[in-house]
Amino acid sequence: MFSNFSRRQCLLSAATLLLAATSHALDVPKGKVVLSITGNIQFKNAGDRADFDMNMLAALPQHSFTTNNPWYKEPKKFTGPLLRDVLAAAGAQGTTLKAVALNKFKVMIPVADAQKFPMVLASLMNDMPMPLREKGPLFIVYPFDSYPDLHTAQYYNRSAWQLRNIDIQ
Amino acid sequence: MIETGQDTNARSASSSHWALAVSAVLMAVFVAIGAIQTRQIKVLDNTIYYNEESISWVFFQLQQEYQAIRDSLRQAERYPQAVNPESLRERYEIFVSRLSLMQSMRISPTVQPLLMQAPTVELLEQTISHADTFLSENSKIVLTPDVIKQLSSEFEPLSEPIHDMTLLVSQVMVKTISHHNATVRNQVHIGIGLTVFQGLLTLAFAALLIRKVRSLEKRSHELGRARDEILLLNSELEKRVHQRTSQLEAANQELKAFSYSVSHDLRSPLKSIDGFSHLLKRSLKDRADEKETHYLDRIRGGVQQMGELIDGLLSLAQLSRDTLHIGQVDLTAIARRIEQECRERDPDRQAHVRIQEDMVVTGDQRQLLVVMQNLLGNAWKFTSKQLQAEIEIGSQAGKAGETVYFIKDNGAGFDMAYAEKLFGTFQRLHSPADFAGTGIGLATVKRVIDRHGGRIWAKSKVGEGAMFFFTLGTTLSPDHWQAPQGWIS
Repeated sequence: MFSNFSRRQCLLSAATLLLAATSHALDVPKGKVVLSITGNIQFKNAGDRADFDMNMLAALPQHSFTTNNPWYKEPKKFTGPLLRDVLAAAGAQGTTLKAVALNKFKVMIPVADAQKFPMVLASLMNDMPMPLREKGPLFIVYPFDSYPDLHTAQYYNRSAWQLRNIDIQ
Repeated sequence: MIETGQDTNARSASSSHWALAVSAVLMAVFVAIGAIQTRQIKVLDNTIYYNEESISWVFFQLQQEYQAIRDSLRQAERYPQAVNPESLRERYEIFVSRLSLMQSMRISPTVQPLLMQAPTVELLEQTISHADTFLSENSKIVLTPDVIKQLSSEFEPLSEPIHDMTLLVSQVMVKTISHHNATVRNQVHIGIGLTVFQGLLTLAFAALLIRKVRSLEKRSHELGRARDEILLLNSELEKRVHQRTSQLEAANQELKAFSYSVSHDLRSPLKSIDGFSHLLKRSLKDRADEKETHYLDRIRGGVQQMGELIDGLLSLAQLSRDTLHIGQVDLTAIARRIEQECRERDPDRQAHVRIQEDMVVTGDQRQLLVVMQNLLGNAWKFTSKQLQAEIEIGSQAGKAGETVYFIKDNGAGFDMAYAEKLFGTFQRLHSPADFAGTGIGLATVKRVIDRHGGRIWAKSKVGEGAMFFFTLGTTLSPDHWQAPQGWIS
């Protein structure tokens, strides 16, 4: 099963992130910080953290997909940078990332997921910024409809919304 | 003891019926197990659904976020100078976002008791509707101490309803999961029962199969034994037949030799009687009176009849012993020749003889001549008292497609009650006074027909003539014809 990635695959993923990271510099956020990446990262812009504001995330290549999901009755279009690109921007090296929401909800996500699936760190839903009460401002979304096996509780739980921090482990 | 085939078949059929019945029950059990497992999967799916939707978690979060915003408002009310509007609004939005989860599809609509919480939800919505003006993410209204006090007073009464709702949902979930667990447990029990039953049925099925295989093995063994016995019996029978045939052949040879020698040996004294009675009659000449002359004639007549009998016996013995010389025989020509001889012998007879043309058969010329002489001779003889004799010689197709030859006359005929005696040696159906004869002719005819592999029979009615039929088994060409097995040549 694809959720049980081998150690080798994880290491490869980490190596890929490292390679990607070396090719990008990390700016200092000018607006309100919406995401902080901590832990095993190479590029930092606020002490031990890599902080991002909306503009920094919007500057990364944007991806969109429309998918059914357990939170809304109808399919929604989610837009944002790929999670793997965000991780690469911080020079993340690790096998697991701990996503922490605004309400301190925490969930562990294998880094391999970000490599295997085009997961987006959505900041737009149906092309509109996501307010807090609509699970914004940032929402880790799996492309559920593209991979039917993703329609399980495991991946629903990994889809952290109101995301605020990512800790690389 | 060898079991009868009927018993074995009955037992085999019964065994097959049992095997079919057990198979059918097994199939039913399989279907039942499949149905239960499908049901279990559905129940498990539902359980997973409840788990995955984390209904309890949603309400727990709602309560927690409520407490967080309430505490924030209390804090703000107590320390108005330290109010951080942005943080307060974020807190508020996080709380509101949890409320929306309740209406999302993540909450199973099957959890009916939630409907009881409609007043609480309504109260929450009213509070939020009012609070949105001040606390929503985009609100620009300044959060004065009065406003915060007002908001705090509105949020405080929500504590108990939210707690009760969360508690109730938690209880409902426990009840639902317990119910599902009980259902699964029951189904597992039924499944175990069915599996045990299935196991027993499988054992029964295997037992039936083993029994059937054993029965078949036994039957095969018995058949083999029966076959061996039959082979043994057959071999013994062949041996016995061979022995009997040899004995019969020897007896037959002896009988023929005896018949032949008796006939020959009888001829000498008969010739003496005939010769001396003839001399006696001549020497007595006119001296013998009428009575003595009659006695002498009776002696000579007896001697002549005895001579004919001996000739007949010799002929019969000869015909039985002679080797057959098979060839094409023209029965039509033979019949014509015999007719001519008869007419020469009795020129005054009024007889109409019809002979079919081209009756060519395969057989022994000399022996078939004897057949025709006897049959046609009989017809001529037994029509002697008719003013107009009607004799017909011909052939017709038999039931099996064979050619049946017949000699028909309108003579004295005979009683069919004695038909079986007709072809026996020395059997006569008429008195010598009416018709002369030795009683050997038809026996000779039968012997010849038998030797040709044919059949002979007759139909008649006293005073209305007779009809003799015969067939010949020699339908093959002379080159291919062989005497049937067991024939005495």
